[in-house]
Amino acid sequence: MNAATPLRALVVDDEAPARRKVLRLLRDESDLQVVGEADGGEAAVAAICKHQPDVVFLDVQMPAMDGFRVVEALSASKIPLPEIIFITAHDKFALRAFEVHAFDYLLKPVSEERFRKSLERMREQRAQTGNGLEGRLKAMLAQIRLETSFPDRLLIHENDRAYFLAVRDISWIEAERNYLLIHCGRKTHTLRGTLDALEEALDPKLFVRLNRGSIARLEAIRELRPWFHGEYKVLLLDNTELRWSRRYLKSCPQLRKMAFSARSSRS
Amino acid sequence: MEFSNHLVVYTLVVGIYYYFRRFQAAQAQQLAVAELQARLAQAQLENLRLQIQPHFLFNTLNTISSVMYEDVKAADEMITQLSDLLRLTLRASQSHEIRLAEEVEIARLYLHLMQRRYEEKLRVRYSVATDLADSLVPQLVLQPLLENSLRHGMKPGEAAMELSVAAYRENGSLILRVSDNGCGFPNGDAAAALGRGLGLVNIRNRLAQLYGNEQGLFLIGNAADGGAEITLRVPFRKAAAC
Repeated sequence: MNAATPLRALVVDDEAPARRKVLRLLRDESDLQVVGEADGGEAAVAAICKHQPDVVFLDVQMPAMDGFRVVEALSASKIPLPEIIFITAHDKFALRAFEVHAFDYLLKPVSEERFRKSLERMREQRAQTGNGLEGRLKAMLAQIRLETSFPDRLLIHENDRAYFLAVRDISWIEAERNYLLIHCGRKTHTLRGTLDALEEALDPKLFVRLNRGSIARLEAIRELRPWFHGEYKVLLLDNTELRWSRRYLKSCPQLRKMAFSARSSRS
Repeated sequence: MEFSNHLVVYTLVVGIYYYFRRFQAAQAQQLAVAELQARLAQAQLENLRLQIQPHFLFNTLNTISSVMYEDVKAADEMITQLSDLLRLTLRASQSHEIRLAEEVEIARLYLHLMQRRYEEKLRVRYSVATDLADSLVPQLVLQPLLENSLRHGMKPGEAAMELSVAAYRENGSLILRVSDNGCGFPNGDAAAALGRGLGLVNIRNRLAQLYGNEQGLFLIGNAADGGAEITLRVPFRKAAAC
């Protein structure tokens, strides 16, 4: 097991005393090495590209280019992304920070205890994935897997709240003008969006598009009954009746693999 | 006999109807008063939140928690300045107008604290004639303007932001001006700036309400060097001697 190489850190804040505060806290961390500072968004991007730190302490509100735009710019570049710990006086950005896969989100004034806890968690994570070549490869693979697999949870935004919805709890999804109604047993969740967009996020092994206005989860289907014009009536476990239109039957890629004729029981 | 019976019934009916209507009117008025009070309480709550300005507070506390390890005396001063600022702001919000001396003191405290955050990146200049100390100005107009300059006008990089606060008398009016050498309003477009929700509309409306469109003036635009410049004109009046 190779000895832990020091964590390389970079501090970004447009206010000097705020930077000094983080630097002071970092001075007490023996396995951490500060490789640079930046006093603005553009300077941050340049410094991160140059020094390639493992972790960046990033202020959100900075003139001209804010913390989120820094993350955007880094994502667009070729370099491996460092872990981001946002530090800000505003708590309203927490959800957005989560969406960009930030490692943590600390509120100003920064509490020493929370700061150290955050670093502790980072060390634990690195110990699990390792920080040598093997560790980096594992982390890359995990990232690729994350990006190409289908989520088993959807993040639903509702007014001020957001919550997770397990994809396996969904029975069927219905489009209603600009909204999507997600039927999960007795509950229905409303989501803004189009069915086409949602279809791309759903695993085609689990979900099938029945017609222009609905998608059903295969395991929620009780039976299919042939209907007129080559269509099927789809009966869900909760007795909802849907229609599998000919157009979507024809374009359903999974169907060919799934279709078998059972021996007729009458012969 | 018949006639007096009818008269009694008639009087009774009219009497009941009359009192019933009065009762209805009283109820409606009570409801209106309650609604107004609720709205006022809501507005006061919102106002309080705007005055306490939580994000300014958190950022300043963060700065104090950093400065205290380097210069305890300076951190102590910041704590006093922050308390004074909060106290003055809360007091100022209780009237429509305050003395210029108080308004400038609020701006000064605010800028002292901001200078601790920005250090050499912020420079401030005051040109306020001392004989204007007792003139009346609308409360809390300078600080929001200064905050706008700092929040939207800062240029990234090494160059320092210069803010200047000026107050002078011009005939029967008092002129207040806040200017900076930052980015200015995009394209010098004042109308767009008003629409950006910077609290400028609030100030303009208050001026109009207090002094009417003739006397109160609110001008926003870019100065010659490209920085923002906001000018207020109010009628020159002195506070009554206490």
